[in-house]
Amino acid sequence: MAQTGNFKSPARMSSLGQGAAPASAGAVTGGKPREEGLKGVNFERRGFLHKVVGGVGAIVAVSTLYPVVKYIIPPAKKVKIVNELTVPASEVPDGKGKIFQFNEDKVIVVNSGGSLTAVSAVCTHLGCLVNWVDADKQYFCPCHGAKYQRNGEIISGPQPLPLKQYSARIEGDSIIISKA
Amino acid sequence: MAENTQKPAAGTAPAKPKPAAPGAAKPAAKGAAPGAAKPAAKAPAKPAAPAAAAQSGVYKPPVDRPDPNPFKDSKMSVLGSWFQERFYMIMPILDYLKKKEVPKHRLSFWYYFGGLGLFFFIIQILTGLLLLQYYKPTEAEAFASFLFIQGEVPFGWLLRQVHAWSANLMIMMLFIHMFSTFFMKSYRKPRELMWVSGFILLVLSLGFGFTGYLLPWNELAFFATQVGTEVPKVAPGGAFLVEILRGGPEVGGETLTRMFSLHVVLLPGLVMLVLAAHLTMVQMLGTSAPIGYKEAGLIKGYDKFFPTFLAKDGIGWLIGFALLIYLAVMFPWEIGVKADALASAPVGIKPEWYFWAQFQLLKDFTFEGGELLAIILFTIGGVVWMLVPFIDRQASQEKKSPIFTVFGILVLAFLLVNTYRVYAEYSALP
Repeated sequence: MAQTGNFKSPARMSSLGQGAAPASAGAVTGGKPREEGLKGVNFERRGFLHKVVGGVGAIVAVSTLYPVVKYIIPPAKKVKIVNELTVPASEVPDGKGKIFQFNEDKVIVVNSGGSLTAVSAVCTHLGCLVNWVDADKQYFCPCHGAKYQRNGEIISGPQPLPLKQYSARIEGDSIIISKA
Repeated sequence: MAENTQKPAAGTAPAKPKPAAPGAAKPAAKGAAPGAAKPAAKAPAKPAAPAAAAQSGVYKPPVDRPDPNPFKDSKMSVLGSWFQERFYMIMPILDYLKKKEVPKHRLSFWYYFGGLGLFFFIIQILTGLLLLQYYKPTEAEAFASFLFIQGEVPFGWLLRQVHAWSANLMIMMLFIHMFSTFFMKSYRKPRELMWVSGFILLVLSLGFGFTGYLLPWNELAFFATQVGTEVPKVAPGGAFLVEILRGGPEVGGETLTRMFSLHVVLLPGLVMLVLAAHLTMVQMLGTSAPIGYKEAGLIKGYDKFFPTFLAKDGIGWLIGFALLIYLAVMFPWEIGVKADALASAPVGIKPEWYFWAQFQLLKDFTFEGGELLAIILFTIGGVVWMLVPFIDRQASQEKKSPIFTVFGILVLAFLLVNTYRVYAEYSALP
């Protein structure tokens, strides 16, 4: 008898005011006939006012939301585009790879047996940064097991594209990274 | 149980024949309905029951079962009735809310200021959330991120100015709301706790103002916080409180972190709780009319709160919004220079206007122990002010209480005069 509680009891309803509201009245009669409430309403005027209020409201809403949306969009970070990046050669010892920020990309420079290569370190699958595994002479992404050759070509894994190639050369004590 | 019965309207029959009866009932059924085409095993219940009743000679009145769907006459959308069937228990509450009415009389104008305070509070939440997207609450980065918002983020200047102005307007509205309800004696029985919760909301709002003031981390903010957190030192145990507030012996990066966490976590949470109580009470207890207005026939009628008064409130909000944008664009708050713990305080430094009365009193009480006296006076004054509904017995009996009107005028005069004195003194400075 869960639903036979107070909500249908006219006594409780009237204790809350004069009879129940029509919406929830159900079997209990409540409210006045609709026609009486709408007598003397000028529907033309009401419709016009609805449009005016709605229109003005839309203008206010849009002009309020516009600055907010513009604000939320983060201002672009100014990255200075360079053709070459010079880093100390001591940072990339033999058998290791090290990642550098190069313009908008992250580049992994690998020193394997004295020869240098550079490819984008950003795995083309979901953006993790790859590791250089010197024993296998390949890049390995631990996130989902993507494997790449030294020149960035795909060996196996879920990645759709090879790693972008860069070039790296030694000049004195420095490594110079540049676009391929 | 009733709603699970398949055909509750056909209620005079028991759903199942009694296990003991079938032997007797079946032949009876056949006898009573000889033309029945249905297989006997399926049909027994219907014809059997009246026959059984007739046999036993006991009259069973028809059971008045409840309507399985009491909402079938509702004029509601499918979604509306979906919720109604599940949450019918809150329908009386909604029906009750629908009946809330706001009296119309010559002081009705003052009913709008509480809603305006709420409106500006909502703006504070929204703009505050937006400012948080770029603000960094650390000693090293606070001012830089503040400059970044003001200078580089599109419309960042506007949102910061709106946040600063809306804070001031909100506190202004709360003061107007408080004094108007005071002079209308709206705090009287049964609305004592509305007054108390409202006063707590005002104190929390002042806390918002104080903690938010430091966040730009400019010179003005730094020294205002320095002075503000220094005040409790004269009270016994105050030094400890000061250290807690500052997160160290001096105002510094730790103070910024504390003020920030209070401003964006603790205070909003507390305000939400108290505000929920305050607004629930407004809906439950309704709007108070001044003492004697009903008897004197001064009430010209009632507006339904939903939707009439709310729509009127909406007009007030639109006016408030326009004023807010005008002020934010035309009278921007200063950016200032980065706070420096080793720089001299700037000339003409003073707190925000809503602390001017206290500020002036502290400056006036120059005698020995004057500061402590000022703090004690303000504390006692605040407590008395909060407990006014319990002190003013006259009003609670619906009798006029002119003593409290005078008391209110004195408090208001004190605040206004002292505020004006600060204004006059500082605007005379070069």
